[in-house]
Amino acid sequence: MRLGGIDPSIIRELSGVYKPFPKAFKELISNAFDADADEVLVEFADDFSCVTASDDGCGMTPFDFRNDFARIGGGSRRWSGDRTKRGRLRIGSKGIGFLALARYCERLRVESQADRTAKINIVVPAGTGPIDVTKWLGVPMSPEILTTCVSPTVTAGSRRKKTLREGHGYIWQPKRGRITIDKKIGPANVVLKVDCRKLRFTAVLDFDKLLRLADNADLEKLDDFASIEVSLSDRSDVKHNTRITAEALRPFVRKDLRSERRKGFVRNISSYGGYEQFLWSLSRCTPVQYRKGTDVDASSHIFDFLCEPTQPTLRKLEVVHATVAKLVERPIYALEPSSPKLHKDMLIKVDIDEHGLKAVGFLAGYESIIFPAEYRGVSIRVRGVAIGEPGFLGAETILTGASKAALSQITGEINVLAGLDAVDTLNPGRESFYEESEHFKILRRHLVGEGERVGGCVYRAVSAVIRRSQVRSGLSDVLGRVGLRRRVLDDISAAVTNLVSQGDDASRAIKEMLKSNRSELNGLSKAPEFDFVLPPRVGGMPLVAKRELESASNVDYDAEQVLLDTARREWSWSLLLFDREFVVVHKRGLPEHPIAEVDFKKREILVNWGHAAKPQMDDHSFLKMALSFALAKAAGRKDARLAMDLAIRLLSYAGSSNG
Amino acid sequence: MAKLVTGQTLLSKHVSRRDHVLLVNPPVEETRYSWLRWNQPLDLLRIAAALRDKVRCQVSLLDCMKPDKAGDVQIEWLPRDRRYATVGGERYPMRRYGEPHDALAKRLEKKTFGDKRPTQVWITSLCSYWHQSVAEMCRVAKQSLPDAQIVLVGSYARFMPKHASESCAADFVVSKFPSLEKASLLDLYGREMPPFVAVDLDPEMMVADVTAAVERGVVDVAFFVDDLCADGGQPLAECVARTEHLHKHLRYHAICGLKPADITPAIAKTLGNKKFAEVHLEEADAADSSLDTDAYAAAMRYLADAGLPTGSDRLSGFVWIGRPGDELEDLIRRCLDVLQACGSLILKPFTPTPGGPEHRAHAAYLDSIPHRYWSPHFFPFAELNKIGRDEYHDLYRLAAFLNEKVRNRSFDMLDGTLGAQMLRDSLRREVWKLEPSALRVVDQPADL
Repeated sequence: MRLGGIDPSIIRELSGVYKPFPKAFKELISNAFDADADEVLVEFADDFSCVTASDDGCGMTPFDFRNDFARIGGGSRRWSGDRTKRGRLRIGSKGIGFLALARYCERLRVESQADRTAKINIVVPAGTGPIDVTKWLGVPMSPEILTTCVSPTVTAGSRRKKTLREGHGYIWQPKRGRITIDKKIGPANVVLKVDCRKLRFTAVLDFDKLLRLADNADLEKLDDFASIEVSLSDRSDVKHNTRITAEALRPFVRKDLRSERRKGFVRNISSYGGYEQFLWSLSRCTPVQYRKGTDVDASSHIFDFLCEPTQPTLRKLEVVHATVAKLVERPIYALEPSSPKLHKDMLIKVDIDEHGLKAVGFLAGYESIIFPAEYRGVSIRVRGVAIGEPGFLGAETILTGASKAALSQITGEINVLAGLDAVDTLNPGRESFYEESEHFKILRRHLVGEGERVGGCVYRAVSAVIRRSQVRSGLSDVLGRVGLRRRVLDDISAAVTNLVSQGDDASRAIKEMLKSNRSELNGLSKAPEFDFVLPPRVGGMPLVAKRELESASNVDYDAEQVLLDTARREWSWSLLLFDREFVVVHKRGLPEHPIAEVDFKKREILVNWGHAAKPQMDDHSFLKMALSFALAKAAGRKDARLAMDLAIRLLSYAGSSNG
Repeated sequence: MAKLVTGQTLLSKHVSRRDHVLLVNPPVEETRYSWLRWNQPLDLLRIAAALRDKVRCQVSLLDCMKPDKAGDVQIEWLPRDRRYATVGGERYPMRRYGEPHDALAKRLEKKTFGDKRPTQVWITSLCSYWHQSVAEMCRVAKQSLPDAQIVLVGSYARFMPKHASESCAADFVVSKFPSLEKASLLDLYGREMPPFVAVDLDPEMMVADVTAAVERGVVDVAFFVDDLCADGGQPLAECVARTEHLHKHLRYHAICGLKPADITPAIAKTLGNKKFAEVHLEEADAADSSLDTDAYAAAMRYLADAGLPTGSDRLSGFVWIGRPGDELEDLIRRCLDVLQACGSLILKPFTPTPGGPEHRAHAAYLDSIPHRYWSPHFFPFAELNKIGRDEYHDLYRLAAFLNEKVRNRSFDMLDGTLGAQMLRDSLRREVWKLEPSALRVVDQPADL
């Protein structure tokens, strides 16, 4: 067998298109899909020395193997149409897939058979002697096979054709493998009909030999890079129609497959073990079914968006190593059990139908960074197979700052239902699109817009992520400030308790103060109230005070509002001083008014937010200082040193270590 | 100010069936807590049983000192303003052991203890000088559960009721609690049991406690009793005989109350049982206040006959330090004697019981010291004894070194080398959390 007219250096280049190993191996799965297979079984040897892919597709005749499989540019789409017999859109097109594994193994053993009949047409000029049939068939066949499976039909005449009977114009000698046409007949046409249903062939492609050939090697030496043997077989023995084994996997492939998962906690697929990475890659680049998780919340719409039923896939792709079988399914981040909840406002539907390009899918944004990192980006599937790695079609190079960071929180999946034909728009190996393709330009415009500004669906997803982030950070700021104020009150409360338990002068003064019922106010009581109002909005959403929420806050993205549970203790202004409860009242006094005053009768502590010291510090520092000074003054009213000591001790007290 | 009541009055008049009593073992603020793993509120567990049995009210437990799933008790530095306590010129780092108060406040505010919020919060304390944490616990409880009554029980309430009633925002201080003859209510711990069960010497209660503990997967039993040899060791023997078959991995820990002078051959036989994982002998004083070496010799003879010889990994002897009247030379001699007798030495810092004989004898001296500094780790009698706290710390190093000399043979293959010395020093520092000291025992005593 030969690869007619192909320079070995071109073969070397073509084989290099497929990298790394899983991307090359996926070609075998794609071939099985194009052969209308439902199930594919991949079996690794325990030591990863070889791997076999078996499928239940329509199989190959020895002639299919010679003419289509092992031929550069022999893609079946060109003469069999765009669809398989069962109506699947074919994945393969360029006819170089058989070279995919050339760099990764020494040999490729192909075993197959098909329920088909092959016809070989031979035009025989007048006066031709005995014809060697095996030479015309192109594959070696034993006399037994020739006897059993090959039947010639000979027609005579160049214009009016007349079918001859055997023995009357020609002699068919299957054991000798030849047809002899009577010289009186003149020019004739011989059709060799080969019934392949009982034929099984085993072919071996010697990649080692193929790649070793130097650029200047004689092309004729390529003839024997493949061997083929055809035998009769009983179909009942055969479970799989085609069985392809990559034998003697190269040491670097075996090393990669054997590599262990990185130690410690790992989040990204690239840190997984080699075999796990292989399974992951296979799940992304082969036409397999989606892994369906629990249908909850917004993610339940995802399958509607993907139009999944219209995209045929393999029913089952199973990979076995060391007796452990794993089903390969295509994972979607939104449906993974560990993924966070997907909110409706973060789910963006993609539906493109323009100039023959039809694509559907979704983009999903998340509040947190997506792990594993391999899920980030939009994965585009053409004919069920992902093209390259997920990405943002160049948006990542345009965006900057927070918008760029938001991309790490976006995932997506798009199925191209029509257009973006594999031959015209996809680079060999299906790793990327030709950017000149009109369909690709349309797809890009819909997804990321045009020019130097990012638009389209990615822009909407980025905006949704950023908006959530703004709401979250605004809310966290509000709650943080409330928490800090509450913490000041708790610290003062704990400081008083601590002082009381010391049993010293300060302790006695505090106890004495707490027994008091006096009300010595110096004008602050008449000052107007200072209203601690909430900021009207966070991240563009109005804040609404509500009681008895399950959590401290709740963002209602549907109603576009942020709810805050103001009945919680964080919002309360009560202050427990040993065993007496006080309320902190906010006043807008004059700068020269006292910073704070204690009304023991009403159990109120009035804080002057208009005090001259306030502009010098933030809310909680000012509050702590005001309360400390007011209490120290009240407790140490007869002893300035004691008052100062108390003020310092109250100010410096911290309730917890992380304060 | 809190009302002083007895346990009897409290149970009969102030708790009803409608109440939900939350029992709290608060966190501890200390400079060092070597026996952290043995903190279990045995009194609360007994009270819980009594409340459920007699009052029939709902009872919950909040044990801040319970180790987590990994067996660790949370430890954190105190905030910066209280990170160091300065006592007698010595700076002590201060840590909080157990769940911090602010975390407790959050737990109390949530419906952690069922739908019915606690109506009473009973707070205990193992030692009276940990009273600041008790006061803070009262504040947290009062703030988080404003309608609940706060009750103080335990050592602080018992020994210093007046101080407690003035210093804590409690409603009741229980100065005296009737002895409760009820088995501990271990089911209050739920699924997450502590790693051991504390028991006393009443055989009926002990058997019930150990049975309940074993059913919950706990196999370590620690005796919390002052006198383990009471009644000639008969209760101890009965306790062991009736429980040792309950689990093949059951282990007893005699961590206190074992006086050498009281050890008889019968008691030694009980202690010789291999299920005793730890046997610590209290320090024995003779009539003239010197170390009762005869008592040690007799006890060790009986223990050796029972299969617990000197040098056994299970055996060690306590030596008090920080008692009034300490002399450094005498302490070192005692260390060497106990080490020779038992093979291993544990220093036990002393603190007086409020109202106890040492307190009464040195009332004026002790009352001038803030009670929180009565912690034995601060050596409250240091000034009285005219022994510096740094010298007491050196004794710790000496004890570690002596133990190392006698017991540790880990680095024998490097014997005599600088490497071995450095390894031992490093280990000792790690064990005792101490900085290296210039003090070294230069000559090995002839009899070691």
